[in-house]
Amino acid sequence: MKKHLIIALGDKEVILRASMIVQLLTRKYPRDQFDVLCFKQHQKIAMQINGINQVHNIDCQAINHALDNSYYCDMYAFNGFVNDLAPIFDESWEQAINCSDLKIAAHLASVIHLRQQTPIVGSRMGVKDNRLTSDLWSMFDYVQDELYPLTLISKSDLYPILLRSSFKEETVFFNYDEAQNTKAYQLLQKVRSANNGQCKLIGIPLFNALHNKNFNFERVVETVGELLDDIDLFPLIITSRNERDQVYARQLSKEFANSLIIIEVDDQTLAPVLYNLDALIGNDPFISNFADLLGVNALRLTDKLEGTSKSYQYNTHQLTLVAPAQLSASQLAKDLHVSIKHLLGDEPALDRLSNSTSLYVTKLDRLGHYPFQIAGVEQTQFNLHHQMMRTFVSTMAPYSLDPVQSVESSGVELPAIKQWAQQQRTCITDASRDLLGTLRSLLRTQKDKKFIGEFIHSLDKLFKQGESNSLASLCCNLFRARIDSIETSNFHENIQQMEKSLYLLKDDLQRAIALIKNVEDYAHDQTNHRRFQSLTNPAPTV
Amino acid sequence: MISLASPIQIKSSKSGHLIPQIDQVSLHSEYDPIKEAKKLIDDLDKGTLRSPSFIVYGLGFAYHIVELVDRLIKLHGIKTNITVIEPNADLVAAYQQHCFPLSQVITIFCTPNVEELFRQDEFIQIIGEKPPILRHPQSYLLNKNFFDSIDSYHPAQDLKSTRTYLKDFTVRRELGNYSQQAELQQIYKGLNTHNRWVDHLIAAFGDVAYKREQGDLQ
Repeated sequence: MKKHLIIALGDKEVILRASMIVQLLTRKYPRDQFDVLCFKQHQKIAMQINGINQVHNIDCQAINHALDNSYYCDMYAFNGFVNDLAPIFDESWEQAINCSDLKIAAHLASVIHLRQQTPIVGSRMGVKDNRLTSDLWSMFDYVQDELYPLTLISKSDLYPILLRSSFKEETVFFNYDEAQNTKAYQLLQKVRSANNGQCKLIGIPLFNALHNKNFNFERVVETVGELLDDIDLFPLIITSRNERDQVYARQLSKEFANSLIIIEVDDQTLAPVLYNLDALIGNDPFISNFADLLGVNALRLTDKLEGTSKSYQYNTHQLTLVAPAQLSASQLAKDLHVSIKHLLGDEPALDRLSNSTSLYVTKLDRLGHYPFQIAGVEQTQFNLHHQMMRTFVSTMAPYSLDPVQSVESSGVELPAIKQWAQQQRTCITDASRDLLGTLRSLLRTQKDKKFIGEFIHSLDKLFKQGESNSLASLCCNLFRARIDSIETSNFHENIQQMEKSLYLLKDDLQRAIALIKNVEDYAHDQTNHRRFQSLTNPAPTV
Repeated sequence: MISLASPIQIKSSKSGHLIPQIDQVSLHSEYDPIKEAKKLIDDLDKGTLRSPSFIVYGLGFAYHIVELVDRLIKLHGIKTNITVIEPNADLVAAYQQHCFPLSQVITIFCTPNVEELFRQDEFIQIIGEKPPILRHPQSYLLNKNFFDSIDSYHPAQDLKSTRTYLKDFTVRRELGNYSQQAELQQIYKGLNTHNRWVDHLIAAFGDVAYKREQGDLQ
């Protein structure tokens, strides 16, 4: 029996990633064992991952406690850290998969790789504090998380490509205690019975609520009030055992003459409670993503779609309401109410959505899950751009998207399509110019090392092209990740690999140009088609 | 007067209590050690007694400690916790021979070596919490250098002095690659390249320890 290690150091969300990886690996290697390395504070939730063998942890609090105590030498804390990792170092791993974004995780992946010759999937740190990625998709994952503001491929779609596996139907990601589940079910049934028996229970998680600007106290009060006015719905406040959260929840309850039901959960009881709800409203990405993996209806609140970039979107029964920060609390409450009704199957409810917010549903295409706008303020430019970026990425993936379908699905008018294509062309022209400049200075450097300064300057300029949000910037960021992955101290080998990466960038930019050409052709054909139609069916004259 | 082989002599006070003498110095009042102990505790700042934990410099024959325990138990009940530091092992032995056993809320650390004291995890945990310190005046005067060294203690940080803290011999051996005068934090900050796995291990530790990489970890 072989053992695989999943490095999931980070916030709680990384545990969700680990749960996906365990399911994919279990399917691929049904006889093998899967261990997770996480921070100690997430151990309880990690232990609930379906199919997990063992959870190892690093106790950061103990390390920090030792460092805060001026009587300990730092080596004492280091000893604690090494002791935490001892079971990892003593084991022989078939592979280690790093799904964390943190540098500590990438460094530890390198320790395991160099000390135990374990193959690493995902990123690890190189000799010069650079990120080494295991393959194109691991590189893309890193670029998407670190450099690019939007999620183009959800983790639940990326990991199957990365690990060459697939989720089985009705995958169970987390196991939870059956007794806790029964208790949660009975408790929520009691609430249902006390409120007309048929009402839908809507969970409102309030964790770290004091710091929640997007869903502040006033907005929560209005939303709870709005839901209470609907006889078919009943809001439940879900809070942590943290004292500040509990004070917040009690204050909230006071606003409703202490009539609210507040459910206190911890990492072990969260899943059973979420599972027994009818739906969830909130802006906590971890809770929404957790609910998603549990198959619970969730309405995510965000002030911009980029904010949901880390969402995993495993299921399609997810809605995202994009509401500007300046929207009044009462209007937001109404829009959340309408959206939740829609999520629960009341289709016509959407007509009542205000013209200040936008509502997105999670849809599935050949590349995977993506947000698709179904109501509200039309974000057509954004939708077009996002969809075209995905279409570009799909040219690298096993399944590519049709550019024309992508344009049509965005619902954008012809002038806007042309404008988008023009903007993208400009960005690609700029990037191509800097690419040529870099190639030229690289050739000079190959002949004479004294041009190295000029080459580095050109390279910097090219990297800067990655700062915009365009097809060109995505190509440049992938190029940057490739450069980061070069691991050689030999000057000539280094130059050779850089040259190779520059030509790969050229290929990427050419693919982007081809995509833009498709869009331009489509726009041209549509313009001609409309012109022809207007000639053959002239508008009636009065 | 009872004479011991050690330089500790034990005599009776006027009130009839046993008191130890070291080098002709009585560690408690020769008239009434209990009255003296009560005054010592009475003179403590009231705020200080809000802490259920105390460190006491000097055991003597524990009249001051018994008085302190009585006060703290009344205020804090079972939370009361007293740590006594006494450098003189003979005095501890004399106490155990002649006096009633101390309450279970009292822990005695007995060593004349400050470094050795700070090698004890339990002691560091206690002193790291920075509880109030009660200096038993006579014991303090007798062992001023010892107690002052505790007050001003800073642990050595260089690899040479601290490497032995590491229980993992593979990692300990790898640390031999660095300058032994360097401190762990200096090594972490000076790591421009990561050629060996131990470089990455220190970098990973440093990200947790010195950069506190993620707010969620705190």
